[in-house]
This record gives sequence, C-alpha cells and structure tokens, in this order.
Amino acid sequence: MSSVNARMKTFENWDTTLKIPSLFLLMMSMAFIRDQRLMFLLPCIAAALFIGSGIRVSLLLSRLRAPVFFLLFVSTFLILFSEGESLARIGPFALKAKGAILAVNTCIRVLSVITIGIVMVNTTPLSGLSVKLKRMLIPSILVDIGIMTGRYIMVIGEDYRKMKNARKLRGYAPGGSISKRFRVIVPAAATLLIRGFQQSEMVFHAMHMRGYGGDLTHKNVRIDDNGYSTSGMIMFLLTVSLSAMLVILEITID
Amino acid sequence: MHIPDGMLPAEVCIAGYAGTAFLTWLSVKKARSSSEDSARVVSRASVMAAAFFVVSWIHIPIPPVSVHPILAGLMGILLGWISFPAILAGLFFQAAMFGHGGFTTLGINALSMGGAALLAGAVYRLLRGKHKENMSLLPGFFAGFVGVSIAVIFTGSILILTMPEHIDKGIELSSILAMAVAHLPLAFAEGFFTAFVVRFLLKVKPDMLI
Repeated sequence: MSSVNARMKTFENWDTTLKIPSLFLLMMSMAFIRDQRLMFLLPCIAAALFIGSGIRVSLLLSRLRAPVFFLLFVSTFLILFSEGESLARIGPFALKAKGAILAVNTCIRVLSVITIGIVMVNTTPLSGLSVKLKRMLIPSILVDIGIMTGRYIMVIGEDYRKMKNARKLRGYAPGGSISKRFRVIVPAAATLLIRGFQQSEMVFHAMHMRGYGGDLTHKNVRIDDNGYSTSGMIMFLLTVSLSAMLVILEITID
Repeated sequence: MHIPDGMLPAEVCIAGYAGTAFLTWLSVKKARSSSEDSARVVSRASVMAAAFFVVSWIHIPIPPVSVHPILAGLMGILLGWISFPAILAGLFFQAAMFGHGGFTTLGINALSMGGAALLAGAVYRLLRGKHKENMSLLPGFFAGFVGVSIAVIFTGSILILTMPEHIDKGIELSSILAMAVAHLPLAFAEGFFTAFVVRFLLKVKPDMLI
C-alpha cells in the first residue's frame, strides 16, 4: 500500500505544467502510429505509466466502459466491411482477415491512449490548476470557464439530486406512457436551466463588481515562475523523447 | 456520439483543435460584440454548461429504451454564440469525469457538437422570426432535430472517412447514411424535448431565449 502511495506521490509531484503537455504529446504521437509492427509498443508504454502512477485498476475499468461500446461498433464494422480475403463466414456475413487485424490494432491504440489520458487526469492535483493552465498559455477566459463549470456541476448536480428526492417523496414512480414521462422530464430540465441562468446572473454581478477582465490573450495573467523539480524535468524529457521516437519510427519504418 | 482517444489519426486531431480554436475565438468575439463583456461570457458559458451537463443526465424515453439528450439544439437556442465555449467546457468534463470522448479528440468532438449547436441556434432564430410567442414548438423541434442530425452526420463522416483505405468507398457512404438513419429516433425525441422545453421557458422565463 505504501509503495502505491509513493508511486502516486511521484506522479502528483510531477509539475503540472510539464506533465500535461508531455503526456498530451505522448497521446498524440501514439494516435499517429498506424504501423502494425509498432503497435506492441503502445500497451507497453501505457502499462508502464499506469503501474507507475499507482491508480486503482477499478478506476481504469470504470473509465473504459463508455469507449468499449464504441470500440465494439467500430471493430464489427472493420471486420465485416473491409476488403480482402475472408477469414470465416457467419450466416450472410464474411469476416475479413484484414479487417480483423485493423480492429485489433485500433483496440490496442485506443485503449493505450485512453489509459495515458486517465493517468494524466487522475494524477493532476486540482489545487492551483487554473494558474498552471494559464502558465501553459491556455487562454485565461477558457481556463476560467473550465474551472467554473467544474465547480457548478457540483452545485447544480446537487439541485438535481434534491429535485429527484422530492419527486420520489411525492410518490412519483418512473415509467408510464411517453407523454406522462415528458410531462415530468420537461419541467425538471427547464427548471434546472432556469436555476442555472439565475445563478449565472448572480455570478456575473459578483465578477463584475470585482473588476473581472478575462481575456483571450495572456497580458493580464500573472506568471510566477518557481522553477521545476529535477524529477519533473527528467520525466518530461523522457516522455517527450519517447513521443519523438514513436513519430520517427512510424515515419522511417519502411 | 463522442469519439474516444486514439480513434482518429493525429493529423485529424490537430486539425480539429485548429478549427475549435478558431470557432472559440470567433464565438467569444461575437458574444462580446453583442454588448456582453468578458464576465458575462464567462459566467453564462460556465454555469449554463454545468446546467446542461446535469440536464444531460435526464433520460428521454425512446421505446423500448431511454437515452441521454445531446442538447446541442437547446444550447444553440439559449446561449447563441456562447454555446460553443460552453460545449467545449462540457466535453472536457465528460472526458475527464466519465471517459466519454477524449482529450486528443476534444477538438473534433467540440467542432461536431458546438458546430451543430451554432447551426441549430441559427435555424431556430430563422424559423421563429420576430414572433417569439406565437411560434415556439416548430422552431424548437427543428432546432433539436437539426442539432442531433448535424452532430451525427459530422461524427459519422469523420469516423468513416478517416478509417484505413481498405474500406470500400460505396460502403463508407452507405455506412454514413445508415448511421444517420439509425439516429433518426433520437433526433425526433430530441426535437420534441427541445420544443417542449422552449415552450415551457417562453411561459415561465421568456428573457432566457435570445
């Protein structure tokens, strides 16, 4: 347990301003890989980073639920509709060998890139994130929108939970005809939107009073450069080198 | 509807980010020029993005199943130009919190949903004309319908056209068509949902509708 905590700490201490760009670059370079001979590298890199991060396997599996359905759809499409020799037949459908290889490659690439994304998000501490994102030259207006959205999802989500509880206490049972269900969900959705709108007006007045001046440029952003840790720099250089190596290998392999 | 990480080639992801950067810049510029300062843009985009995020947890019934609404049309109607950065923020949180969509594909997903929202908003305002009160159901329905349809066609086209060249061109085209047809029930459901929400808002809080 303590080794897991120590590993998590290493990743959390990896400076956000170095970690996010380098892992994002790695994800992009992995998305660039199409050659089958390089495909084995992707799960190796993803597994190494995942194990190094100390993230729970259950968290990884829960995050993979949504993309797995997407992958199933795409894989089926590739196996059925690719050109080339048939591998086998199921009723009227011919399963194509080339399609099967493509499907396996796609699954490997998608799952590896998603794993890196999960590592990136789940090892990034939220404290001071807005300043760090602005240091990464992301327009301050977008950072502010992102940070405030995250905060208000919790607030409005809590409102929604209360509405659901109140509905249950009044004896509402889900189901029934479509028109009956529409009569329930439409006012619920509209009420949430009205609350959001009113809340946004209050937030606007508060921001206006404080003299907020968010911009698409960085001229108003104060940047404190505290330097980077040595371990953070080493991780950064390793990840960037790995990304460069993948791209070079993909270009030069033939 | 959200393309996950690793599905698209890096070149397409980069192009998606470029398009999203341009549309975000344009949206913020347009929103500001219509007498809304930065504080208004940030507060409206972020809080409404959060509200839409929560509303998308409500299931719309399409017998025998129920689905999450996409809400691109409704966002276009209520937020106008601000809908684009709001959708961008919402997509980012969907990727981070639930694994829907991805970070490398964020630009393409934002173009698909955000572009659909902008177009759906424009369709609503075009059909509604100057008579806000009398016409609510039909423009609302079309906005919701168009929002889903455009997002589905864009996402499907990007996915199928970026697949390896071993796929027959005819099959590519018919797959895009099949995908659009398969999403018709969702487009109708979202159309009705949008229309009724718009009618409700016109009765209760008409100043929310731009």
